[in-house]
Parts: sequence; structure tokens; C-alpha cells
Amino acid sequence: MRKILILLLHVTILLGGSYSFDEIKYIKAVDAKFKKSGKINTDENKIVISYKDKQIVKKNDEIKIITSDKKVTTLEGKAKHFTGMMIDTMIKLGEYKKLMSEDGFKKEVDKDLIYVSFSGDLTNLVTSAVVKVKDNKVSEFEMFMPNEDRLKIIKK
Amino acid sequence: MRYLNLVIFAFLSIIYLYFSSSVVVSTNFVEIFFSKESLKLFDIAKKFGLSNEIYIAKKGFSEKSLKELSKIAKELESLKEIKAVTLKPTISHELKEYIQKNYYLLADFNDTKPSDKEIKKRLQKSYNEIFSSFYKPINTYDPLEIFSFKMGESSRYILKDFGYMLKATTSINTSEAKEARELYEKIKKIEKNHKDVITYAPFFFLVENSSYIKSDATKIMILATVLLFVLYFVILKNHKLLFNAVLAIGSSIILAILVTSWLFGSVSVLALVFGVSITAVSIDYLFHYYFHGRFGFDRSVFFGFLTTFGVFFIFSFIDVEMFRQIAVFSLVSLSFSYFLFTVVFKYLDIDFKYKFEKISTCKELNPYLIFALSVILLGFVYLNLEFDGDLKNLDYDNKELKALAKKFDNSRKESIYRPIIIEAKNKEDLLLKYEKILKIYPDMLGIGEFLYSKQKCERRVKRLKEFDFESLKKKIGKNSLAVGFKEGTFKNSYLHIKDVTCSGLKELETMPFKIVKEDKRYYTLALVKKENLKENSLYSVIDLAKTLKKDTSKLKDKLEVYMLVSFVFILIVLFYLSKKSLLYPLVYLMFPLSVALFGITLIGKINIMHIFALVILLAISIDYGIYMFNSKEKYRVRVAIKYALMSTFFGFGVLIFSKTVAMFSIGIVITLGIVSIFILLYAKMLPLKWIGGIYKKKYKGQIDENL
Repeated sequence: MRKILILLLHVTILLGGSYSFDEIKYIKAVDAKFKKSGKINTDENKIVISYKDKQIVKKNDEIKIITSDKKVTTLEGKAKHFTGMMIDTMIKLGEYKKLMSEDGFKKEVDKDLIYVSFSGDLTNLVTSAVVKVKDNKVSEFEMFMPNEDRLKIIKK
Repeated sequence: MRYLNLVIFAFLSIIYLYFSSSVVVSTNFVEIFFSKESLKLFDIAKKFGLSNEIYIAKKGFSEKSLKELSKIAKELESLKEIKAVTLKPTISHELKEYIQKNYYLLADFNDTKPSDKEIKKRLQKSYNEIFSSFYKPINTYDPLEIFSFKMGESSRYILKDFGYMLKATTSINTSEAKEARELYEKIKKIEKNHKDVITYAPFFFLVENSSYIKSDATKIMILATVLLFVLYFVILKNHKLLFNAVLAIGSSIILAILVTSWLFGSVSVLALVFGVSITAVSIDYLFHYYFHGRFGFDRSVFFGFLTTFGVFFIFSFIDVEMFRQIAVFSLVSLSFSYFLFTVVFKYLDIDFKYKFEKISTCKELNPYLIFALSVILLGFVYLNLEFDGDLKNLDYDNKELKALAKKFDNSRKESIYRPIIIEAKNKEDLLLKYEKILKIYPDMLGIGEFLYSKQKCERRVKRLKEFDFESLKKKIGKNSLAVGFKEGTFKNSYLHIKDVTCSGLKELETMPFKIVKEDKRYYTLALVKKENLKENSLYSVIDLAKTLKKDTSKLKDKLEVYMLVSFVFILIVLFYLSKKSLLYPLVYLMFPLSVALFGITLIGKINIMHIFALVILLAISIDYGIYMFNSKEKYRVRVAIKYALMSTFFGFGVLIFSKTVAMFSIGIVITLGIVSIFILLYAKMLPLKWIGGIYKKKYKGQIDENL
């Protein structure tokens, strides 16, 4: 039984992961910080980001926002494009292995900090990021936008 | 002299081997059927990269699938035939800068002045989105979004309900069978090396279908060879005859290939196939000599040859290169085989082993009746026969690939569009024409998204100058504070908009649509939604299937004219030979043709392959009509024709057993033609017995009374 449980644990680790986080969003246009908590669940084909008031589900190249009153909005066009890029970037920055194996990111390591700069289309949305690492595990990261907005995720 | 035929064959083979490097066999099927105008149009379309796309999809939408697809992309990039590979629509850095620099000119401009209330409402919406959306950057440069640009999103290519997809473009000519097959095999190898990967490109049809047709043709060829060997070895029991006949036909084909290649630069593979088939028909000269027990000049054979020669001479003037090639090929090969069978074969010491069986009486059919029957059949054909110009119907029905094509097509945004070509004498006129078409199709995609005519650009600059942006900025500033935005958030909105000029608009290499110069004319390609598209003199629609259908229909019309001229020529020759008895040799031509056409009408529609086969049938039946009319030893002619017909049937009448429509079409025409000639030769049908009597009275002296 113990072996089965260990095996199941390994499978869960291999197939995906989940973590709870605090999100601090700074929006320059209103010069204010907004804080909220959430949870990220990932598996082979699905990413779910849950907040108190809504859930963002990315599955099969579709992004849906499900509010607490079960109202479902399927994102289209620019909204889908921006949100999709944000989610993908967050997932990569949030997992050490993924971050280090991502060829598209330029990384500079300085002690427990990794400075990440982006290229291509992504730079329209996020220009750079700083990832804090402890024991080869990401503890927090912050993304910097071209319009001076910032998004910080602190793992709990 | 006994080996003269062998010496000639060896000599021609050496010449062929010497020049073999300059003998080009073209497998470009597109060139065969398209008119010069269509070919020019498709050549221009090719320059815009049309029909050279390859799609590869990997199952799943996970990061792992994406990584594997990126790996496949790298493998593809290493192939010399691949020009570019993309996983999503990309805009070059240069183009991005260009769009940013000329944004106020290129973006759609809504110059309706918004009221204070409207401004506040739009700003409030942006403000609310800060809290409601996951993350959406606020547009501080155009907060009211009075400018909008179509491009911008660049989400990954996906194959619906399957996974991520990549798009590659090739630099090879995909209508060339050899090049297409090589690339196909490389792509299939990649597909095999990766799990859950599917690949598709439009040229896969050419490769897969031609491979199926090849295997079908191989089976038919084996059957034909076996039957021919049975004919020569078992029935005729004359090995030497077979050996020399093969050498003679071979020599004629080699000479015809050399001459056609020298005259046209290359030989189309279809011209080669039909040319060889027509050459094989010359075997009837051989059989006529053989069953008359002597090789050498014979008036019947000479006129048979001369009439067939005349028909192909007429066809050599046709304005379709492939038919000119078939005609020239046939003229050379038929002339040479006639020379060999008539002159060379008499020196070969061939035994005339054939023993005629006891001659049975056989009533000939009344030519009036046959003629009347042919006219009735042709009347039925005239009223009921329709032309099928869709060449796709001739192809192998590759259901699996068709389903795959549909799956990929449904996922491609471009599949809802049809390309059109716009042409003008200079770039300014080209852009003006584009803008005129844009008024008909406002959602058209093309160069006009990035480039304007001088007139349009100046109009846009004037509109921008007339719009009061200063006052709008003040209103935005005031209302944004009221909504809750920080002061100065929109201070950079509509910056330097009054300084915009047309000088920055220019063509870039990396623009997704281009202007191409060809023969002092300028061309550009645009995409219009299929559902809206109509024919218009302002542009040419690039629709392969439709153009092919149109061109095939024109080809059919030309063939009809040439067949009619040939028919008149044949009538003149037959009249010269038979005078008042014209109907006798004529029915040998009319009856097989009318039976074949009647058969086609009963089965369905006539296609271009049926017409090709009818030309071959014409070449066969002329000879028999002349032989039968001219000969005084009809039993010998009958046997000669019987073996010639068996030889023809075993040669390419067996195509009737093919599952490929194109080959079956040839087979059915030839088979029906052969059967109807057999009827003419061996008609003993009781209800028609009385005809013999009438016929004997009418053609007294011309009928062999021994029969």
C-alpha cells in the first residue's frame, strides 16, 4: 500500500502540480496595488487558476472564465491572446524545471534570484521578470509590463 | 539482312543512350491541361507561395506536445526543400516597427466625434476591466479605441479537436511528381518517428494517387503481358514474329521519343503513354502482311497508314501542346513502324506458320443498316451525352486523404478565403485597383492593409488633420480623473498625430502580401471570403478546380473541331478509294465510334480520357475499313484484323479492368470499339441474315464470294 501511495505521488508530480499563491497586481494607470489569493492546478492538458470570485480554465486552446455564480465566458480575440500568454508565462515562471528548460527565455542567475527577459510577441505584454528561488524551487516571481504595470505571485 | 531489324534497334538504342541526358520526360500534369493564360496566372500565384504549404499536427494542447512540435519544426527546417516553418502567424520586427510608425495611417479610423457621456462610458469600461479581467493592459495611447488594426493576435496554429499544428512552406515545384514524392517521403518519415502526429499537404494527393495508379497500372500491365505472350506463343506459335515485332515497335518508340524531345524540349509523360499506345496499333500492318503471307508494299496497308498519318498530321496543328506532342510522336512512330514492317521485315525470313481453318461462310452486314444504326446511336448520344470537365473525377478516390484534407481545411482560417490576383501597369494603379475592390469586399486581406495609393493616403492625412484631437485629449483627461484613473495616465494619447505624413509608407520584404513584377506588369494577391466572391473584370480568381474545368472544356471544344476536320479528311480519302461504295469502309469507322459513345452515354458522362481514347479508336478503325474494302482475300484480312484487335485489347483494352477512372475510361472505349469491329467482321446474327442477300446485290464484285 505504501509503495502504491509513493507511486501515485510520483505520478502526480510528473503529470502536473498545484500551488496556492498570493497575487499582488500594481496598475500604474490607477497607481494602486490589488491583492488577492488563488490556486493554480496544472495537468497534461489543463490549467486552472482559481480565485475566490472566479476560475480561469485553459484547456484545448480554449480559455474560459467561470464566475462564482457559474457564468461562463469564453475568451476570444485579443482577450484570449493576452490571457493565454499570461497564463503560459506564469506556469513557466512558477516551476523551476520549466523555467530553466525554456529556451525562449533569457536568464541571468544571481544567487537566489533569476532575472528573466523575454523576446518576440511576449514583449508586447511582459518585458521582464524576476524569480526568487530557494532549494531549486520557485518561491515567488514578479512580472514587469511595458506600461509599468507589475504582477507579483508569492507561493504559499 | 536477317538481323537488320535488330541492328536498327541496337543503333537507335545507342543513339538514345547517347542523348538520354537531354531527353526530359515531364511529369508536370498541371501544364498538360491548363491553357497558356491559366498557366501564366498560376505561375504568378506560385510567386506568392500558394499551394506550397505543408501542415503537421501533434495531438494534445500540452506543453509537451508543443515541445515535440518544435522539435519537428527543427527537423523540417533541416530539409533543403523547406523554405520556412512557423508555429503561429509571425510579424517581423521590421514590420511591427513599420505598423507602429504608421499606425494612425494604417489603422481603421472612426472619426465620429464622441460626446462627453460616451467618453466617460468608455473610460469607465476600461477601469472596470482592471478588476474583472485576469490581466488586460490599458491602452493609454488610444483609450477610446477610435483606431483599430486588423492584425495583432498571433495565437498558435491549432488543428481543431486534435492539437497544436505547424505550417511549413516548400520551395519545390509541387506539381512535379518526382520532387513531390521525395519531399512526401521525408515528411512521412518524420511522421513515423513521432507519436500521434499527422501530416498533410495538398500535393500529397498527387503523390499518393499516382502511387495507387502506378500499382493499378502494374497489375494491368502484367495481365496485358501475359495475354500478349499467350497470343504470340500459344495461338500464333511464332516466337520470331513476337521478337521482331517487339524490336520494331521499340525502335519506332525510341525514334519518336528522340524527335519529340528534340522538337518540344521535353516529352510529357501522358504524351508518351498515348504515343506508345498508338504505336502499338501499328501491329495491324504486321498482321495484315503476315496473314497474307508476304511482307512488302500493299495498297490497303499503305492507304490505312496514310489515312492515320493524315489524322495525326491534322492534330499536329492543334493549339494544345500535349496533343501536338502526341500527334508528332504518332506521326514519327507510325511512319517508322510502317517502314520497318513493309521494307525491313521482308528480309527477316519470318515463317508464315499460320494455317487457315476451313473457311466458314459469313454474311456481311448491310452498310446502310449499320450506318442507320450508327446514326440512331449518335442521335441518342447527341441528345443525352454530357461532358464531365472535372478532372478530379478521373482520379483515384483517395477517401482517407480527402477526410484528412477536410480536417485540416476546417482548422485553417485561410480556408474561408479564395485568392484573387490583381494586375496593373504600375504600382499606383495597382493600389488604386485594390482600393476599388476593397469597396466591394471590405473584409478583403491584402497589400492594401500596409500600403495605400497616394490618393488614399492623402485623404487619410486630411481626415486626421480635420479631427480635433486636442479637444478630445482634454475631455479624456477630465473624464479619466472622474472615473478614477491617475492624473496624466493618458497624456501620451494621440501624440504627434498632426505630424503624420505619407512619406513613411513603403513596401517591405516581410509584408505578408507582396507586389510582384512580371513582363512589365505589376501583380498582387489578395484574399476574399469565398461566400462573397463573384467574377469581376478587376481581378482574376485563383480557383484551381474551376479553372481546370474551364480549360478542360475549352480543350474538349478544340478536340471536337480537330476530330471533325479529321473526319472530313477521312471521308475524302475513303471517297477517293471507294467512290460510290463509301459507306462500306465508312461504317468501320462510324459503328465503333457510335457504339463507344453510346456505351459512355449509358454509363454516365464523357470525359477527356474518353476523348483521347476515341482518337486512338479512330486510328485503329480507319485501317480496318480500308483493309476490308480493298482486299480480295477477306478471310485473310479478317484473321489479320482479329489478331490485331486481340493484340490491341490485350495491349490496352485490358484497362477496362482498372479501378482508376482515367484508365477505365480508355479501356471501355477501346473495348467497345473492338467488340463492335468484331461484330462487323463476324456478324452471323440470324435476324440479320437477309442483309447478306441485299448486300451482295448492291456490292456485287466487291465481296469475296468465298465467304
